[in-house]
Amino acid sequence: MTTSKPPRRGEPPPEISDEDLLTESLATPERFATIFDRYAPVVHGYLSRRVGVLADDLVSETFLLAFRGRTGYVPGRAPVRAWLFGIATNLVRRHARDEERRYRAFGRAAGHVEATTELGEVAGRVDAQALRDELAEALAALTDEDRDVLLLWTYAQLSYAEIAVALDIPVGTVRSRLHRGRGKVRDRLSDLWLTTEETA
Amino acid sequence: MNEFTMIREHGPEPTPLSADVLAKARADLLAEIHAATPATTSRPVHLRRRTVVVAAAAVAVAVVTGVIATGGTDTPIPTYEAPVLIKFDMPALPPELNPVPDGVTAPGFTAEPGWLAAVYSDADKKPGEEMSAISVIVSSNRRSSDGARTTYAGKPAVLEKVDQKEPAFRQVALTWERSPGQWIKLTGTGRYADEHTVRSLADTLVDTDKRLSLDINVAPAGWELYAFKGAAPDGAGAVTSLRDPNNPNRTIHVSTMLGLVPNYGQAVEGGPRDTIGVSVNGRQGDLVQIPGKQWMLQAPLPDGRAFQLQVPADFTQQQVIELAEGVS
Repeated sequence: MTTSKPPRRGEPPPEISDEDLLTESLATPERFATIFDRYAPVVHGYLSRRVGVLADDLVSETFLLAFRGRTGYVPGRAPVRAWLFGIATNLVRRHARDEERRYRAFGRAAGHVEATTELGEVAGRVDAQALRDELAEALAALTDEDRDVLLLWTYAQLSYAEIAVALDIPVGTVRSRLHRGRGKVRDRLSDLWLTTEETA
Repeated sequence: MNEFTMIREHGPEPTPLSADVLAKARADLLAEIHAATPATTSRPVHLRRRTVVVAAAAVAVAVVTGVIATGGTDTPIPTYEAPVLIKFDMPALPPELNPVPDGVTAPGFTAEPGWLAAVYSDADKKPGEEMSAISVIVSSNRRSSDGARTTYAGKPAVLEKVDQKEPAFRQVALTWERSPGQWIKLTGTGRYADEHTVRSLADTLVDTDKRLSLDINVAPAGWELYAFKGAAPDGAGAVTSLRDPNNPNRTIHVSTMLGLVPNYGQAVEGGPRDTIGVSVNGRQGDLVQIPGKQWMLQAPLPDGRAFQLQVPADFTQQQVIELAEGVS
């Protein structure tokens, strides 16, 4: 499976920081295009995992809204990418039904998906279908609020503080929503899938 | 495998991002950007400042970059001479249109090294209509222009007419030296894009002693204002940025907020981080050090708003507070 991974802390910083680019774009709007070049693919990856092909439209809308609202970005509160993921998440909220359809389709399609080599062939094919069914049900059953936090953590790999800024909620709320969302997913999944190797 | 890995590895996959989709999204953004771009591109070198009052320390040498290597790594860590803080004067605002013409807003201000602009935006633009605006740009150097030579107020001037056949980009600009060292470029866009209107608008320009809503009166010697943006109507969102022209990645940002951010140490990048309580002009603020990167400080403004200050890590804590006390 191909996964779009946003840049994380510890990787070499870009030549000009995102924050500087955004500030420069206030006086020189063209500078914002570099923000697009840096983040359009990862924002599209995040959106498409949530709403499927509708992401093709929402990625454009995300950056248009970001450009129009760039004076509202407060340097230092969170990285630009967290701010962008927050805008994208708000757009997903407007398309909650599309996201639900996405999960239903994902569950139905499970039987047509090839098993990973890790799971073996025949047995793996059956296991993969069951796993995807359970995952689809689990994600669809979450509240919008819990799902936003869980998927910003999981897909966008934002920190507690970054999610808090992206969604404009307190850090404590992020922690509780992530804990609750994770618990609900765990409850839906069969025990045989899960270990506790990664903690939030 | 836990829940997060499970979702990442076995949840819905991202759909492919085609080159067409990416190109269309970029084109949409560029169209928006072009609609918002002031009609100026050249960048003279020096800002005109109202006054440049330099303290004794002003003769200190400019910031010099050095590089040291850390043991066991090839990554160089830049070092800088200790910054010296001096009095700093924000640039004068451009002369204003008096009265403000019907159909445009009060001016918003923006700047880059070399120029400062007042932009009077369309007050009642409707979707699908061409954009109309007026900008007044002041600089200390003559800006490059390819228009027709003319005169204005008895002085040599240049008149530029741009893309007259395309309404969205229709512009007429008049450039002249209004007073010694003060070059003005007045641009009319959309319905203001004709020579008679632009000349009439130029006749209404008057000097102003108004100040920006966010002022900095202390800065490192040799640094320059390189960008600022006025506040939104609620007073938030003003940004003023300084930079070291010898090391353009070294910047200081000040931005206004409606109030202090609760639990500041948790809200900053990479948080939670320890917060140091500091006094800024007698008001309680929060200071956070992000080692190797920057200082971050928030403090109240007298009018009830708050501001956030970002300063490179090589400044001392005392200097960060001195900079903060120069924000008004």
